[in-house]
Amino acid sequence: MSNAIRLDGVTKRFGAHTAVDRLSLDVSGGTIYGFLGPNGAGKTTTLRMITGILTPDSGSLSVLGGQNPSDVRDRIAYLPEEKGLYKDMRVLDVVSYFGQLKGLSRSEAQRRAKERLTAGGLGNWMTSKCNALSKGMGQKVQVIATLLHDPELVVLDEPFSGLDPVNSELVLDLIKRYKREGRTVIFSTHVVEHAEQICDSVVIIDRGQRKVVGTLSEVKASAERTVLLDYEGDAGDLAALPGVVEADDSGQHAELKLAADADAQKLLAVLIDRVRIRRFDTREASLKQIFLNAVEESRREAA
Amino acid sequence: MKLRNILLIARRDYLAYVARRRFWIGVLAIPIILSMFIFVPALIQKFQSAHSYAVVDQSGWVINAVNKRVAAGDLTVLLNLAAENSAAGNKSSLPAPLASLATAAGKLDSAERKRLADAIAEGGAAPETPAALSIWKKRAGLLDWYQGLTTEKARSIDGSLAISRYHFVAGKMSPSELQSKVVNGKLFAYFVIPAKPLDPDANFIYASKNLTDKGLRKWFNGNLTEVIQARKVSGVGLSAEKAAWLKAPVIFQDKLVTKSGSRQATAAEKTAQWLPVGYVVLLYIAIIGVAQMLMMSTIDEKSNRIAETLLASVDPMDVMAGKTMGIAAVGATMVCAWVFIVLVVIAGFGNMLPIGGYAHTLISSISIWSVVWFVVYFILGFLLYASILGAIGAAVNNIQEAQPFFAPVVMFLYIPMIIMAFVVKDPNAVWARALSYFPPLTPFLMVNRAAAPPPLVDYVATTALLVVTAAIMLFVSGRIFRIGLLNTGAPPKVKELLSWIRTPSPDKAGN
Repeated sequence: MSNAIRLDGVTKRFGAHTAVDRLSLDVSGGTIYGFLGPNGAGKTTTLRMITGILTPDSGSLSVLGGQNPSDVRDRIAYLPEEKGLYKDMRVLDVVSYFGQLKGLSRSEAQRRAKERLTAGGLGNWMTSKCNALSKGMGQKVQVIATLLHDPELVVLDEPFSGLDPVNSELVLDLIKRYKREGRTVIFSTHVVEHAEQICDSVVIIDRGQRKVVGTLSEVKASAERTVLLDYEGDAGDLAALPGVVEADDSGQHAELKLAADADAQKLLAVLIDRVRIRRFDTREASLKQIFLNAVEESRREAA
Repeated sequence: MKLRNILLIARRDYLAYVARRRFWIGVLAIPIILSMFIFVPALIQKFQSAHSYAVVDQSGWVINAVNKRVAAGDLTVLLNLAAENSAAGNKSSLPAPLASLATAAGKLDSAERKRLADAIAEGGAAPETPAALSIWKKRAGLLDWYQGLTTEKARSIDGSLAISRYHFVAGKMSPSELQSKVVNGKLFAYFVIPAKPLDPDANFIYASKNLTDKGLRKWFNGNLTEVIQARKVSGVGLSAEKAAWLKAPVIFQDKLVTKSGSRQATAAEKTAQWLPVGYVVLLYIAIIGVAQMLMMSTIDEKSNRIAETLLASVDPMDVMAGKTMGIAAVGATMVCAWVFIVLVVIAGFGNMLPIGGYAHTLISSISIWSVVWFVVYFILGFLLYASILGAIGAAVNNIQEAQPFFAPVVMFLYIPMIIMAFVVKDPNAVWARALSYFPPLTPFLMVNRAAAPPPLVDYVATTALLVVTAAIMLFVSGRIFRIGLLNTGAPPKVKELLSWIRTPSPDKAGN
C-alpha cells in the first residue's frame, strides 16, 4: 500500500519554542495510525500541518500524493479536539454547509446530510437549531458534518476526549469501518488503550521528537519483555543469565527483564538445569508501559 | 483564493443575520426611534387640550381688538391652506367654505392673503384685485363659519390655528370666581388688562398655577403688543400704512449662487443643504454597526470553536474575504431597508412631518451623484473599518477582551459626528478639506461636504488615498486574522500583533 502521508524532517517553531522537531514518519494508506504523546508533545501541531492549517518551517511533507496539503483539502477530513457548531443554524444546514465547503454540491450535501442524520438517529432534529442539541448529539452532528464528503484521509485530534461512552464506541466503530473501506485514519490520543485496541501503527512523540515508531507488533517486539519466575532451589545470579537485562530476585520469585532480542526459550533451558520451575510467564510490554518508558526516557535525556 | 468558498461563507454569514427575525426588528427599531423624535412632539401637541383663558379687561377696548387680531392671524392660515390645496389640486379635502374660495386664494401671493385676512377680520377697506374681491364678498359667511369652529374642528383643519390651541372664555367674572376656576383647572390662566394700557407704567397681569408652560402667555403677549402698538401709532397721528412701513423689519432674500448665476433658493434647496448631515449619520450607523457585526461574528466563530474546522476546509484569507463580503451585504440590506422605509413614510405620511410639503421636493433634490459617492464611501469606509474590527475579532476570544481594542475605534468615530454641523456650514473650509485627506475620516467628511460640492481633486485624491489605506489595512488584518483565528490563549499584546503582521506564512498559532 502506498504512503498516504510522509513527513521528512519536519520542524515547526513558535518563537523560541520548537513544537515539532525534525519529525519523520510514513503512514501507509488504508491503515489506522495513532499519534501518542503527553499533552504539549506536538501532536496537534503535527496534525495541523498534515491538514494544511499550519505549514512547516523546514522539512518536507506529502499528503495523499500532494506536496501541499491545501491542494488536497477536499479529500481530507479534520476533526479538531475543540470543536463547535453555529448555535443559531439549523442542524441540517450546518451539516450541509460543512459538506459544501469540502466541495460537495448543495443538493448532494443536503441529500447526504439528511441520509446520515437519519441514520444517526437525529432525523427528528434536522430542523432544530444546534443550540437545542444535547452535548452528545452535538458531538454526533460534528462527526457527521466532518465526514460528509467521504474523505480518503481522516485526521482526528483527541477524538475521544469529552465523549460519552456511547459516542466513544461510535467513533471507534467508525474508525474501524473507515479502515475496512480502505481509507486512512490518523488520530492523536493520550489514552493509550484506544490506540492499542485499533491502531495498525503508532508513533510516540514527546517534546516534538519521535521516540518510538512502527506497527503495533513491531513496537511491542522492540520493547523489553518481562519474565515472571517462581522457582525452588538456588538460582545463582539471575541477572548474569543470557538475555537478562535486569533481575529482581526475592528468593522464590523473580521478575526478569529481557533484552528486546533475547530468546526466552534459551533462558528457560538454562533455568531448568539450575532450579525447579513452578512458573515461567513471558509478558510482552503493554503499549502503555512502552509509552511511559519512552516519555520517561525522553524526560531523562532532556534533564 | 477560492471564489466558491468565499461565496459560500458570504452566503452563510449574510443569512445568519438577514434570515433572523431579530435582525429585522433591529432594522425597524432605528427609524421608529428616530421618527419618534419627530412625531411624538407633534402627537403630544395634537392631543394636548386647548388652554382656556379669560381676560379681565379694565380698558374696555383691548380684548376686542386682540380677538380681531387673532382672527386675522387664523384667517391668514386658512387662506394659505386654501391656496396650497388649490395648487395641489386637492380642494376636495377642504371644508366647504374654504373650498369655495380656494381657487381665488391660489391667485394671491402670501402678502396679499395676509392683507386680505387683516382687512376681513379687522374691518379694513375692500381690496382691489378681482380674486381678493371675490373672497371679500364672501367675508361674512367665512367669519361666521370661523367663529363657529370648535377647538377639535379647528385642530382637524390645521393644528397651527390659534383657536385650536387657545380657547377664549368670554364673560365677566369676579376675582374669586377667576381664582377658583384656575385652581380647579377650568381655566389655564387669566389676564388682567389695566384701565389705561397705553400708560408707560401700565401693569399687565398673567395669572396661572402653571408658570412653566409659557405658550399661552407668549402667544397672547404677541397679539396684545401688536394691538397696543397700533393704538399708540394712531395716537400720534400716523396712518396704519405708515405705521406698518415704520415697523416693517428688513428681510433678506436668500439667493443660491451656482455656476449659471444666482437665483432665489427654494425652501427645499435650503433644507437640502443640511442633507449631508443625514448622510453622515446614516454612514456612521451603517459602517460602525456593520463592522461591529463582523467583529462579533468572528468572535463567535472563535468562541464556538468553529474557526479550526473552517480553516481545515478553507484558506484563512478566504474566510476573511467571505465574511467581509457577507456582512457588507447585510449592511447594504440594512441601508436599503431604511431608505425604503423613509420613502414609504414620506409618501404616506409626508404631510404630518414638520418639514411637511418639502419632503417630496427634498427627496427629488437628492442628486444621483451624491448617492453614488455615498455608496462608494460606504464600501470603502466599511472595508477600512471592517478590516480593523475583523482583526480585533480574530485576535481576541470574547467580547470582554475586545473592549479595550474596540472602545478607541468607537471614540474616534465620534469625531465626524461632533464636527458634522460645522462642516455643513462651511464644507470647503481649509480644516474640513484637510481632515478629508485623513483616510479614517475621509468617508464621513466627504459625504458631509457633499452640498458644497467639493472640488473634483478632493474627490479623486481622498478616494485614492482611502483605497490605498483600505488595501493596506485589509492586508495587515488578513495577517492578524490568519494567526489570531487559531490563537486561543491570552489576547495578544501590541508587540505580538506586530510580529503576526510581519510573519509571511500562516504559522504562528499555538499548538
